[in-house]
Amino acid sequence: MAVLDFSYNMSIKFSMPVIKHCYTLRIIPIECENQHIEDIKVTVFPENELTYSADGFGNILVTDRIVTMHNEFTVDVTGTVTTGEHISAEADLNPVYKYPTHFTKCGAELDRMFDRIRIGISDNAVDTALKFTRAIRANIVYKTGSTSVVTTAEEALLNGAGVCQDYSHILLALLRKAEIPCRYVVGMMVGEGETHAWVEVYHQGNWYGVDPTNNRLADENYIIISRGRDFADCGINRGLLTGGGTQTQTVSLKVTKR
Amino acid sequence: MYGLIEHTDEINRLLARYGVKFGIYKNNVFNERLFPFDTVPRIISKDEFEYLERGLKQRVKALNIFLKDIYTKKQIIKDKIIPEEFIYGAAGYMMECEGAVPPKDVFAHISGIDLVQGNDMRWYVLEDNLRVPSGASYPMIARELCRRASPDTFRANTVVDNRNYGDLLRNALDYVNTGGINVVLTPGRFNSAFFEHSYLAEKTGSVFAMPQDLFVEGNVLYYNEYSGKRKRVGAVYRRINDDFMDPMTFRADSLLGVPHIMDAYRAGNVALVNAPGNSVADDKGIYYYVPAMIKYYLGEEPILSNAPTYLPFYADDMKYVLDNIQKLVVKDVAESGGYGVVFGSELSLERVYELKKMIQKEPRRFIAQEVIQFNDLKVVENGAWTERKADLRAFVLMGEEPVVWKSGLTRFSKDANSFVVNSSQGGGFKDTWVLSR
Repeated sequence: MAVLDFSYNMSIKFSMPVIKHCYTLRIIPIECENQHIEDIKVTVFPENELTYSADGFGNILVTDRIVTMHNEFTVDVTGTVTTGEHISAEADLNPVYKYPTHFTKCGAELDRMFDRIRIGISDNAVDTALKFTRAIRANIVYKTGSTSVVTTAEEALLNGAGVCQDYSHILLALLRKAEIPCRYVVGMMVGEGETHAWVEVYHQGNWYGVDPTNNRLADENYIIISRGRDFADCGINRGLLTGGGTQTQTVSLKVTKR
Repeated sequence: MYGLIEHTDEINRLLARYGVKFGIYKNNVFNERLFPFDTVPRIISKDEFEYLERGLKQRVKALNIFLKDIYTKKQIIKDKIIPEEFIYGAAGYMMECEGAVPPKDVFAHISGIDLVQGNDMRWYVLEDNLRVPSGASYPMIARELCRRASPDTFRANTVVDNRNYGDLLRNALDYVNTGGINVVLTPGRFNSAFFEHSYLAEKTGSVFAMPQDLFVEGNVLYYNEYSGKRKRVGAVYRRINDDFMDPMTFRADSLLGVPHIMDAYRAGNVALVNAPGNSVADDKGIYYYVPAMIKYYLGEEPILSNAPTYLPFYADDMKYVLDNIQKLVVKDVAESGGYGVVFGSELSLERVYELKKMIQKEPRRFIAQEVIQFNDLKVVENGAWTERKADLRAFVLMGEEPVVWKSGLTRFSKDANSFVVNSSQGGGFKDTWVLSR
């Protein structure tokens, strides 16, 4: 068990005023087995009627509709979370996690890769995920800015480079091809200055966190924010606005262990 | 009823003036087309309609339970009545709707069930439309014009009045309303059924709204009045597809939607009519399982039959389909509105070969059906009698109990040899008379 303090800040500056702005934020860590929120403070500017809801995956949504003109949008979330092993029981698996999605569909390149590594599939889904992870790391290198929010697993593999989102998408694609249920996780990690993404693998009634980017199992240094089938289900900030011109976004994150 | 025939041109002229039109997108060009009306009605006897009514209610009841089950417990999958891949391998299931139970558990407020009558006089269900079924306004307005043109016809025949559709729809909206006004939401005048949207708003006494008239705050949906005053909305009869309904949840590029309307719905603060996610029941693959669903959920024998259908997903069916493809009709499960439907008999040998290969490659994507020998209906074309294939879209409205509208939309094919009757494929329509004795 560990106690982690975190502080997340996002700021978007608009070159032109924004007159209408709807947004959905997925930035609050969830409550789950081995992860408990001790303290949380959310500040969004500007705010009108900040509302909390949940989506179909059980993620927490913060939504609002701002009608006053603004040039800047800021989100601050600070809190304290107790964490532990990344194992959570779920007897009633939603089969949706077995099926490929837009981002995790295998094309010819992933199919070929799968054929090369399928020998690594064992009865233990977590072991299989770790074996696949090593294969992924032999095929792509970590390179900031090498991919974008629309890059699919297939494209990242062809590209030979990617970030945590791409490592996770490729792992999800391969696991789903091996008929292993798995999901995408967005979260935070001690010592990381940005949000992180990893994968959860379903094995014998439990979800296990596997981090393909760092080639390790998720542990008490990780905080889960949201989960879904892929990146698209876990958007941190989804907004719809009128006006705005060009946007400049800055994000800072600090996660420390007590 | 023959007294109506001489008024054909006059009634069609009035329909055009009222704006009874159908918009079609072809090659990205939007065209409005008149929907030709044939004055000779389809007539259904009292007994026959009572039979249809029982079958339709049963079917919609089961489909409604199915929708709740799929988005919550998924018992029908666990009990292996429906294979999992037919739900999750298809586009119909929407994870965005997972766990969301609509007000009063109603998912299918308005169902359009498409039936055909074979030449053995048996009725077969061809399709269930539980998303945004359109077309009820056509027979409503046509009936009104027919009454005006030839009142004697209706004095001489005991036809059940069909002008109550607005009341039935209003009841369905009121039943699920969470406290607030009823709204009919249209994407705008370029939608193929815009006329119907405005007509139904009027007939149900609902506020007729465009997306920009609505907004969500604090998970509550409001209508912005012209004066700037906001009114809470309790039920939305939305004529916008799920994909475009909420850019915050579904397609982000949708300009037709209302941001956060899904959050208000999930919070239980507004009824969306029909419920989002119903596409999982519309799926042509799921259609195959509806009779099994009726037995499973209701413990009853299905009253209405499906057209004989094969799923290439099953090895036996695959063999049958490949061996008999030239006498079957093959449908792509992802398509609707008469698109993606091919008759094996109309294909060249080369195309048959291609189609077989496609089916073998993606068995889940197709269903195949026996071609039903339709009981053709008489129509008057350029003053002469002729025959056409026709179907019947029956409308079932859900309140506390399902109610079947005692009328329906009878559509007939454009050409004498065509089996495709969808409005979007050309063709015309008839009134549907249900006799009161």
